[in-house]
Amino acid sequence: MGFDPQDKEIVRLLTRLKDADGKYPPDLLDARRQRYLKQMGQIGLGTGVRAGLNNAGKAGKTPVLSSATSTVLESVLLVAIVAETGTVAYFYRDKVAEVFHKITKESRVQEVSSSPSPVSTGQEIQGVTPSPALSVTNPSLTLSASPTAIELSSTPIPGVVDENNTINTSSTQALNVNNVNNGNNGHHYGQTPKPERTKEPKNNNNNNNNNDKPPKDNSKPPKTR
Amino acid sequence: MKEGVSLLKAAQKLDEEALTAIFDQFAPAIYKYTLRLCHDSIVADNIVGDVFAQLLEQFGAGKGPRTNLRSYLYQTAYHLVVDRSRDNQHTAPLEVAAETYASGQFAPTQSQIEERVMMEALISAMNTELTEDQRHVIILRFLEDFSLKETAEIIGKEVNNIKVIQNRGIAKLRKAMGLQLEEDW
Repeated sequence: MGFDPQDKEIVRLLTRLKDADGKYPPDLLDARRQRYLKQMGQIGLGTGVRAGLNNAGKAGKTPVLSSATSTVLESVLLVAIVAETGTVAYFYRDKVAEVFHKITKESRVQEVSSSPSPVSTGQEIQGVTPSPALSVTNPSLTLSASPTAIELSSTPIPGVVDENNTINTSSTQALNVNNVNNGNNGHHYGQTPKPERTKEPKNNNNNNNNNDKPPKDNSKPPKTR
Repeated sequence: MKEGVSLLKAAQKLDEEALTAIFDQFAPAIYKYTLRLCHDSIVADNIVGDVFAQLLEQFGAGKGPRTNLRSYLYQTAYHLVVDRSRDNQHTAPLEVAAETYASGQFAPTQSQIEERVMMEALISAMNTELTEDQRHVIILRFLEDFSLKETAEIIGKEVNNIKVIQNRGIAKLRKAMGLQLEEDW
């Protein structure tokens, strides 16, 4: 690169200046070098670990195998798994059968418990909800003298005509006395005792339809003009 | 000792011998360059430490220079100096050079006294007249002997731009030196 003569003088002075600057002080240079070597050791350690990890990663890669070899290995593995499963099932066959038996048994019990009560099968009454009164039809219960059973049996069943029912009604009437004596009149339909009249109404001719109304009082004083 | 490309390749593989050789070869030069720019021996030493620490990190990460290690080191040093100069404006450039000349390394003949006066004028002109870019280019080109291309890579500008900066810097120095010499005479 060409310079003017004056510029060449400047360039010459600059190149002289190059040798004039101070050198690296030896103590500073030694200290800096020691620190550099220390950093170099740390970096080398880190890179050594990193290189080890890289090598491990490379070693962990799947080996190059042919497809035929891999197919054979897969089938061998599958056969081994099936054989092991069969062997285990053979050795523990009793327990397996017991477990299956238990499972099936439990399911049967559940089916039975979910079925309707036998009463509905015995009595084919349609349109009537099953009531405890039907249990009275059992001959063994008709002989029993328990008040609750008889009391319940006294409930008339509409639309049902049965010989047993009539028989039970008569026995109920006989036994209702015991209930009255016990002071438990109850408030069931048809069982409330009718109140007894102490007085006979004086005038029943005027109002036959309104028997419940009290009789008119005709004892008014006559009007005087 | 390994040299050139083989040294760089060995350093990329984190060869301790190569890394140590790189430090021994370039640390004094980087220190001198940094000292010219920042004019503080402690700061220059710290920058040298930062330069080589970054070099180790780059090599450790699998990066770093591939071809020109010297330019790479100077470029790193240049950026570190620029960053520091932005943080701390230091206005006493090239004091060390002036002190070196004042300490009497040269024999006090008449011609040498004249040259010493010119050198001091040159140092003063570099300190006061040149812009930062011009000073960097002048130092890299004539004190560190980098080519235009290498200087352009270090500073991060085009070669033509470096040429322009260099010529303007020299012109400023010439003008300042002529004026100062006229004043001295």
